[in-house]
Amino acid sequence: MINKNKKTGFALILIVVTILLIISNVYAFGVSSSYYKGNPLQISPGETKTISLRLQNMVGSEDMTVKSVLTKGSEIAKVEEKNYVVKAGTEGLEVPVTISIPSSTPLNTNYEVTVSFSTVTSGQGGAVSLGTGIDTTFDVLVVPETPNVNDSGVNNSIIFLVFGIIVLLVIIVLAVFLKNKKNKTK
Amino acid sequence: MNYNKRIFSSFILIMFILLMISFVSAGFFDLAKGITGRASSQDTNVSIIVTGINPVSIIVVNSTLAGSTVDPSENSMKNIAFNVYVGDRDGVSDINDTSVYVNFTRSGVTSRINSSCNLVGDINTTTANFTCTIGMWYFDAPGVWNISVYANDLGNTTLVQNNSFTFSYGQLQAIVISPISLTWTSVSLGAQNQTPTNQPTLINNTGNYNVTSGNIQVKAINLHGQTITTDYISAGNFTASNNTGGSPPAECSGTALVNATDTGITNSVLGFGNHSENNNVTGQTRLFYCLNTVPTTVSSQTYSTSTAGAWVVKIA
Repeated sequence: MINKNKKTGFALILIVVTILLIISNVYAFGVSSSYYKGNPLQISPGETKTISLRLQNMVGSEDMTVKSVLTKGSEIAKVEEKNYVVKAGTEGLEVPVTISIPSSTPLNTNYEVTVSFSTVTSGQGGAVSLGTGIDTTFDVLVVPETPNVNDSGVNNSIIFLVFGIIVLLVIIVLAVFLKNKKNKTK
Repeated sequence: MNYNKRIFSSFILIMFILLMISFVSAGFFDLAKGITGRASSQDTNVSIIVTGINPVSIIVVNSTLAGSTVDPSENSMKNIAFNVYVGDRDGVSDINDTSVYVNFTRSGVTSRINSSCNLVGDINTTTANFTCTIGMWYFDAPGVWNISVYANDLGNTTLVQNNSFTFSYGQLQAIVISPISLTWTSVSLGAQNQTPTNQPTLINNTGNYNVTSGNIQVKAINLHGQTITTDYISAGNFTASNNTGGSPPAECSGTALVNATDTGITNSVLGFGNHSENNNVTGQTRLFYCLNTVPTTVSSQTYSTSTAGAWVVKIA
């Protein structure tokens, strides 16, 4: 009888603790981005850029496992689909997104890229266990190539052209000089 | 020999002409375009002249913030610290050390103000270093914010303002939900309009992303029996809504959920704001659920998400 009461008491405590744990727990994570709808990533035809989405877990006291999946824009974007462990109290865990625009893409073409993040949740802990998810969407706008200008404001291609002309002239002068020298020796 | 000399002279002449060719050009109308060219990475400086008995210059240096993107911190205030240098040709003693302050402003939203910056020390005989810190909240709007810097000196009390700098405050999508599970009491086969005992799901917006109608989504998963796992209650038997009350409960005529599919909950929105107001509107919303019909074709047992996986409450 005593054992039975003890078992019942233990079971009740277990249930209460489980309920408390379920009540007190929250699922929280965040995704920050420098690019979003209305603030597109600008990129030129034939260009490749890697940007980062940044995960944070500043609310909960437990580490979170978050899975990333590219759900829109696979024609131009690549994301490694994997689980990220976001430590409690941290921010800035980078998820790289690589954007490559084919060189034949017309200017002003607008793409939409969506990366879906969701918590990896076991499904245990109640009739219906709930996780959280975030779809991060940003626009990619194809713009003309910006001139490759160095710090002094001089277009690099002009520098290379002038340098090439100088080298060519040096070679020609040297060739003529050597030819004359050879003729004179004869 | 003369021929070689001529060649050599020609070469020198060509080289001289090439070197004399300007690598840059500018037309008359370029005057209207202002200064062109891109600066390399460097400290961002600006000078403001304060008129007075003697000309006084105030130099603001901000090498850590201007031009960068600052990420908000989930559910909290992020303190953004940066330096301001104030210079005075009359010497640092002429600087009004208590006059330096900064604001972050953006059209249509509340400014973030630091009423005073603290003197760190003197850089040299004419320049003093101040440190300023402004707190930006998680619910402050994303986008470009102006940095307004104010200062004056003891010789002239005119407050000088500089608005030359901006910084980008990033977008943060973040939510917190609680509780993290839903529980129903025992229900009979064929029962209708059964609501969870521990609803609603409270969703706090802990970022600065505006979730518009239809973009609060629930991905429901069929609930399988814990004993006979082949039996299940379809996700399609559940509805979700941001409304409750009435008979039958309003949530029972909410949006029908679909197995393994992100389903937007009709009319459910989640703006950003200070959710600690706790009014179910500002930075906050609620979801209510209903098991519309318990199938009569399933066995009597416990059904849960433990077999097929958790439901997901998502913002898009």
